[in-house]
Amino acid sequence: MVYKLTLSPEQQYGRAKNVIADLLSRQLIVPKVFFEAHWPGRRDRVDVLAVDRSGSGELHAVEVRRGRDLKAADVIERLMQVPAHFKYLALFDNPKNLRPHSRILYSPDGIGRIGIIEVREDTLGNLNARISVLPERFKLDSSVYKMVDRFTANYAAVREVRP
Amino acid sequence: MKLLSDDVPSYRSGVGLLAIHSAISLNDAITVGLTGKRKIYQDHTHAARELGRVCSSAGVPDRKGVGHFKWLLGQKNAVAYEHREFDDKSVRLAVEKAERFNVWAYDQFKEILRGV
Repeated sequence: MVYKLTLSPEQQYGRAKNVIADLLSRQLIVPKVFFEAHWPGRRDRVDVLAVDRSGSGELHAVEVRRGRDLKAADVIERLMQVPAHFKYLALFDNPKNLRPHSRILYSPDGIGRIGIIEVREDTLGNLNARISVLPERFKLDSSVYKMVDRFTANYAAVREVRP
Repeated sequence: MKLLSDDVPSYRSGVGLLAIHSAISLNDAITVGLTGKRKIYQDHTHAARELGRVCSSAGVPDRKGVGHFKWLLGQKNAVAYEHREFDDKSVRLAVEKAERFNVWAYDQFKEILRGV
């Protein structure tokens, strides 16, 4: 008899965020990673936010969604508004392998494309995240770094390397 | 460095040297950014002393990074000039020291290194 472990939606969402944090930590240089980040304002929320080079580098914003109830247009529109150099939609629990149409991933001016991260569980229950659509860098004014400095001063990262 | 360090036994020397050279490059960026000059040293330990001086003139009291850098340069001397080999433990430590040096550098010299 095979038992299938069933996790609550919150647990599945938490695992997905955690494995995305692993992925970004490997791709970036000593990033600071935040979950449920109030970025850019206190009333906003980004599922995973990573700031490269210990908070002095580029911003990577990820929205995490369950694939089976994906409303692609809504989440892409939301991501377009988030000030970040790199943006991603991460999909977990996605048995039909749904994903947004590629044309809606591009910025209206062509500078920037939202990347897609696929989060999958193997037969042993190991969760893996991989970038299936590479993001392209969005254009941001350098004044964003002042906002980043305020943000990193006010919120504690869930993951960072200590000096 | 980070990707290769998943398989330390296969890439031991490569990972160790990447850790050391990444710190040397970052130190060069700091000193060039602050002084406008790139110094070349026969003895790399002088680079750590120079970084200490740069910290003094820039008013940086936190010197943790100088310690990490000094340790990494010591490893370079041991490997390059004394022909000692890295073991797995010292490679992992080198990666850790290089990452900590990065964090210290980006924290203390944020304005200089932004865009590097």
